[in-house]
Amino acid sequence: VRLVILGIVGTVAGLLLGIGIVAADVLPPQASEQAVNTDRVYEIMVIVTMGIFGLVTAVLVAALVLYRERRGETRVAPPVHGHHGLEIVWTAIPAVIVIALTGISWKALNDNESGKADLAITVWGQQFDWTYDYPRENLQQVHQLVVPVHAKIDFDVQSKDVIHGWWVPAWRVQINATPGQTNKLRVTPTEIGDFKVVCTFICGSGHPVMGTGVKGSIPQEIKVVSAADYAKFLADQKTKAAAVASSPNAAAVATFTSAGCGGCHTWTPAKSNGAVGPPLDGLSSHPDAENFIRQSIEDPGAQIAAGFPNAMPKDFKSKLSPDQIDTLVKALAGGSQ
Amino acid sequence: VNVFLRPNLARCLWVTPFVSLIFMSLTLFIRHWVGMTPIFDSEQMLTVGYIAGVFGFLIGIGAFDTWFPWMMGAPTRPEDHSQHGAYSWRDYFRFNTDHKVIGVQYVTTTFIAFFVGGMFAEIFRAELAHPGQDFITTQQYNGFMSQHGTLMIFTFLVPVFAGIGNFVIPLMLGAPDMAFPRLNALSFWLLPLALMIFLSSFLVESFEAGWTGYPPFSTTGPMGETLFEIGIQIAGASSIATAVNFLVTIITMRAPGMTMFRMPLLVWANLATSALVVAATPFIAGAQFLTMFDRVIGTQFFVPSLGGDVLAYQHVFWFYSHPAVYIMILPGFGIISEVISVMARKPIFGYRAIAFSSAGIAVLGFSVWAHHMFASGMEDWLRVPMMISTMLIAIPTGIKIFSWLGTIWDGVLRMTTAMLFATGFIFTFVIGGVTGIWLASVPFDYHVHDTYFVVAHFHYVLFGGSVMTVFAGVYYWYPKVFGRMIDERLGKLHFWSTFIFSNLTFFPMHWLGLEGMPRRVADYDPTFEGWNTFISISAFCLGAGMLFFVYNMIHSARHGAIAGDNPWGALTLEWQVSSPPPIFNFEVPPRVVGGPYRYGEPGAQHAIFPEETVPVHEPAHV
Repeated sequence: VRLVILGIVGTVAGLLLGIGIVAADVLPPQASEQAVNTDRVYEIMVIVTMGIFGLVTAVLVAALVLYRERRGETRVAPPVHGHHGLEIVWTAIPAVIVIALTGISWKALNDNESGKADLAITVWGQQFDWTYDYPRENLQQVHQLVVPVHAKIDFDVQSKDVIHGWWVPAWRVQINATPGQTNKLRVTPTEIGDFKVVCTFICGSGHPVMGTGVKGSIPQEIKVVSAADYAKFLADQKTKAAAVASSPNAAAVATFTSAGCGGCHTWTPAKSNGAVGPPLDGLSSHPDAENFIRQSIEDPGAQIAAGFPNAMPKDFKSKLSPDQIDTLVKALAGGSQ
Repeated sequence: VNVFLRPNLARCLWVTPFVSLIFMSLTLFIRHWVGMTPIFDSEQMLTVGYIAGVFGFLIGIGAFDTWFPWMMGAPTRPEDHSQHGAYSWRDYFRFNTDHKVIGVQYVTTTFIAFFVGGMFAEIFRAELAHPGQDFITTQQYNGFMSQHGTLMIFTFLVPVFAGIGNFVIPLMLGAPDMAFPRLNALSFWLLPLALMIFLSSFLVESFEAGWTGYPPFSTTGPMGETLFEIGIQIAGASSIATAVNFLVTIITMRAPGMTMFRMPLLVWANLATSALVVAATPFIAGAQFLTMFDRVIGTQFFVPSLGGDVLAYQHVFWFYSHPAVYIMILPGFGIISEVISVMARKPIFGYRAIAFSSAGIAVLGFSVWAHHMFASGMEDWLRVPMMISTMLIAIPTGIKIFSWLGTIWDGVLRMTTAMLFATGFIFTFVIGGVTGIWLASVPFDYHVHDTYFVVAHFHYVLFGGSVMTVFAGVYYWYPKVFGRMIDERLGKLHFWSTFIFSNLTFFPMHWLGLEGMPRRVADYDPTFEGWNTFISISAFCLGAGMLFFVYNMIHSARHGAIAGDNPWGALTLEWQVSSPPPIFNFEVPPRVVGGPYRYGEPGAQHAIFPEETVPVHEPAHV
């Protein structure tokens, strides 16, 4: 009887603790339909499992207090080897609980991914930057993701080099960007505003700066806007794309952007403002600009600019064609300006 | 004979580089002969040199001194015990076939790995105390972080239980040694090699892809990654050989009367674990061979542009590495069952349920691996079955927790250091188990996957779980190994500092993950600074508390009170012989007459010694 009362007290205390944790609300803002469903699952799981935690802790602490051996004590413990009824109960009840938790999780997963998408956007992860393609609008390599609120969006997440993890905490979803395949992620944003994007998968020395807010990272907050603002954004992007295409540096800028250089370097013609590596705007003043730039692309560790890490991927020589490198070197050295 | 010719570490000093150089020259010669340019390929040289060096070291230490002549048809003695037993401290640095010596060698080596791995964690916690770059670069951070995980898992948590089991299990079974003593010594000597290989990667450029080594980051990363892949092969081979040894020992070498259901629960746990090791470890060996081949001989298993499949690695890797989680906790469960029953002076509650739940975990453990991959982009349909099996595996684990509570309830609890660690373990492990259930839920995992929440979860199960059981086991069997008691006062200080600071270190990580901090980052959003500073300070205190342990272990070996045969009043067989045990364990073979946990029954015995009541005392250690 003592055990039963203790068990009930412990369980109730645990449930209250669970409610306390849920009420403390440490999660980021809830900004998508997926977040609403997932948070509901989280809240139920926290409260139920904290009940079990409370039960175990109460029995453990009570046993340690009640039954610890006192000095000079001669009490002998009862030689009890088990109790079938009790063992069946503590197998069956957790079984019911975990099956129920599986059920609600399954339902939330289905709800999160149901329905036909209104919009598809491609997410590209690369060392150390995110870019976005809007295939329907024929817009490529947009640096900052802008999406309309309340649209069901399918993100097709891909990688240009190693594995990255694309996570938007306020949306409660993430998926890896895996080279060689396209991973799908469904989000329906419900709140207008700016939200953090974070890389969750270790991808090299620039891994931390693929997260919004980290020192040296490019400001890449995801913007969720109204339908009208979204239309305006698309129009702006198309104008910009046209302007870049007609500039003398167009080919170099295209290579610069697709190779992800802008993630770390600032270069005005490409409108990039990365700060992991040295800025590239003043390179034409270098006495041996072309050779220096070529070496810095093909063998980045050879000369390290003071105050910057030796963090640049070493495989651009094989990733870019000789033509692409030539174009880049000429443009960066100021040859075509 | 000259010291450099006898089997010992001095001979290793020249044989190791000698064999390495032979094979490296041979490689150069072959490359030249077939006309490959350049002749020198640093990745290949490193691989050939290291693998040959491993064999060189084993030849030097004397692993093959019996096997080579036997293979050549030279006469051998069927009962050759020349390599058995320790008569001076030097015997601990030899190829020794005595399971008790090997047990001490194992546990000491793994604890060195534990402290080195712990120091790495302190270094990167210092870096993480404040946002921005303070002491180490991102690359160095990646190196220390990867080394920390690798050392802790492959050279501490997996082998430390093999070490404890090595000392204890033959004694528990009433056997004179393990089934294959020379194989046993070989398994041990592979372990310090694996440790050295991992650490030596700092000399080139440390591996950076974490202990998981996912390609393509690992296949394109620095040269240290190749050493990571070789090190895993060596540690894995050690692990498999030991597991085979345990299986055969447990199945064939039980004392008369020791039926399966009279075996102590640690033996059951080791049986289940060894089955897991034998079945699962070849998968990680395979995964590391494939990544190594991609790096060294230009295969394309994980090169997507050439038809490779990056995700395939993750499936193969986790098909080992999830069962490995149970390899790192099941023997710990066994230790807890021993300690709790003895210290509560009460039979273990539900012996068969605990034994069968170990077996259940071992079987179910093979069906949950892809829960590490919910966010990897694997086949959608796999997610729900993996969620179901992951949720279900909580049930056998729950049975154990409730059984331990049933054991201490109404017992007469002796709150020794070992018992404090055992009960503290229950508390922290339940927290890790609870967050494990949350993580099994696919939608929730989509939020916290690869964040500090996961870091918090697995430190609760691996530190709050496995490491606590290791300490419980070390404090419990210490008197048997050294014949002296540990200082209980220092032991309790160690427990409280470990218990309090591990919770203060790992608990706030849950909040960080939920709020949005990813794992494996050298820098973070300054809004997370408060908790990170707090965690770093707690981690330093946690590390400092280990000094109590180190001092206690060293000091008590010489100055502790004499322990006597059976200081805890335990019934299992290892406590029925002298401390330290005689050189061949039992002068008179024991006969098992009842269960191992018959506490509270006056006059109950687990085993008797038929001819003499007391075995001959002959200490094995000086």
